Amino acid sequence: MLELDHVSARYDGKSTKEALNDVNLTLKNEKAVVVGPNGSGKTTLLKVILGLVHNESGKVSVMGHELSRVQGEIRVSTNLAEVYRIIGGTVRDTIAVYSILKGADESEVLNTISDFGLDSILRKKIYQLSSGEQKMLGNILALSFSPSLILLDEPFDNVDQGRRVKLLRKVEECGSEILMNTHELDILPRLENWALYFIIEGRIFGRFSASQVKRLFINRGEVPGSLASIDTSFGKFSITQDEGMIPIATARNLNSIFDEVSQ
Amino acid sequence: MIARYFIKSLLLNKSLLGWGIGFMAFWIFMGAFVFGFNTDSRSGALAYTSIWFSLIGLISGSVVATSIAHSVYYANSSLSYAFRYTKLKPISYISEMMISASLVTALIGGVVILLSAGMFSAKAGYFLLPTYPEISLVVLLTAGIFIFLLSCVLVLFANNSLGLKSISFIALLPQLLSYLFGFSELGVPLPSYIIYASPFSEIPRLLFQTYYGEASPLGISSMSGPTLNPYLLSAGLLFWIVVLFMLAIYLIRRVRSGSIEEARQI
Repeated sequence: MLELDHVSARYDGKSTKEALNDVNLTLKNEKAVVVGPNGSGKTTLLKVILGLVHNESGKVSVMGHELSRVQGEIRVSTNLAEVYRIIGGTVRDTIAVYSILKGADESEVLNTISDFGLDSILRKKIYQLSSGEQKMLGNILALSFSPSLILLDEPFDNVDQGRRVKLLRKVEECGSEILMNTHELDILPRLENWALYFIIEGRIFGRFSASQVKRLFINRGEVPGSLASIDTSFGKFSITQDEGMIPIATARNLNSIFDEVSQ
Repeated sequence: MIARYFIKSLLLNKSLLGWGIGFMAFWIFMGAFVFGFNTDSRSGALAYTSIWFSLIGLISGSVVATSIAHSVYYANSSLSYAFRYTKLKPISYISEMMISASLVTALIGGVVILLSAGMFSAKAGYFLLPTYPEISLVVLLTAGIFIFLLSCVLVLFANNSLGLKSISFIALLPQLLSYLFGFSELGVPLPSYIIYASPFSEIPRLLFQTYYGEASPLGISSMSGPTLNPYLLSAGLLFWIVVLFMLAIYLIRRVRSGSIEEARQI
């Protein structure tokens, strides 16, 4: 269970730009995907929930506890690579350490590593891994140890096509609550029953349904009767259903849509 | 126990082994064969060997501490996450790192004992062996704890308050203090109250005694003056360990997640 109530945050506490602006989001026994263009605050959103970025205002609750009181909550996991650097050893040792820290058996992780054909990374140090291998290691650690809430940051980035399909299936089949960031729109139709939010310049818009994405359009300016009105530094936009300027489902990511709709 | 993974990681760190053993071997070689010493008196030769051993023991400990200190700031985001979302507790992290640091320091110290005994004996033509090598190892274990805690406190303070730009200098401070105190004592005898108050004097003085077999005199280079009380030296060192342990726990509870790229100097 996850709840963000009017949460705002800056990148480093000094920056004038707000990375998150009055964000409200609740996740209860469900999966949600947050879609936004590059630099929209997707990763910061997860980092605030993980306690890696301090929220200036608002309240974050994880598994029913206010974030500052969360300790030893092993049911929450993430794929962010930076949280798996407690030792500078090999991938094999890193898996062993995090299995101990999560109070679980490492065999589950090792089996999944094998399933994805990644046995060759076990002897390597994390800094020796490619971006895709690092991402997959994070994904596998996040999906292991029976978590109740999984926070996934761009899980398909730099992942090759074969593993991407397999990973998507694993994410879909997973019984946990999931909050997943992505800038890729083409996977949305596959995420049946997932809630969908858009994040643009640190502000959350939604909630929609991921399977509804084929019927959503983005329009320049305000459109009467729109589902959401988006006010950004590069113009005003509206999200409409069934008719409008640019069908969201036809684009690969939101950057390209905004490029097109802004012209 | 995740300490064994820290220890494994430290022992496979080529840079640490290069500086902790290779560089120390160089200094022992310099002390035994280049600077030279009077081998006519066995007692004088043993005192000279003990002084070198005590200095090198201190410096090798500070090398280990510097390596570990870097790993603490490198893990800042991981620690911030782990204290919330894993079973890891601040006190157990500090304790396990302390155990790792002390064991690795003692291990490298053991090599330093062997190298000192070997090279100085070879130069003298007779055995110049440590009197109480097992107690040397205990002192090295304790020294490892102290120097790790000091490095840890400095790095955490920089990480939480000053930012990582200062980290390269901050992480080197224990090494700099080791060189400063260690070598300055050879030239300028320090007053006893400073020696009793400074762990960077207490450690080499205790190491000296374990090798030489008798308490360290105040003027160590001239082997003159009143002898120092090993119990007071030990108590001073333990006092610092307790204070630094509490500070380390306080600071690690507030560990700030930050970009390690900030530590890049160039």
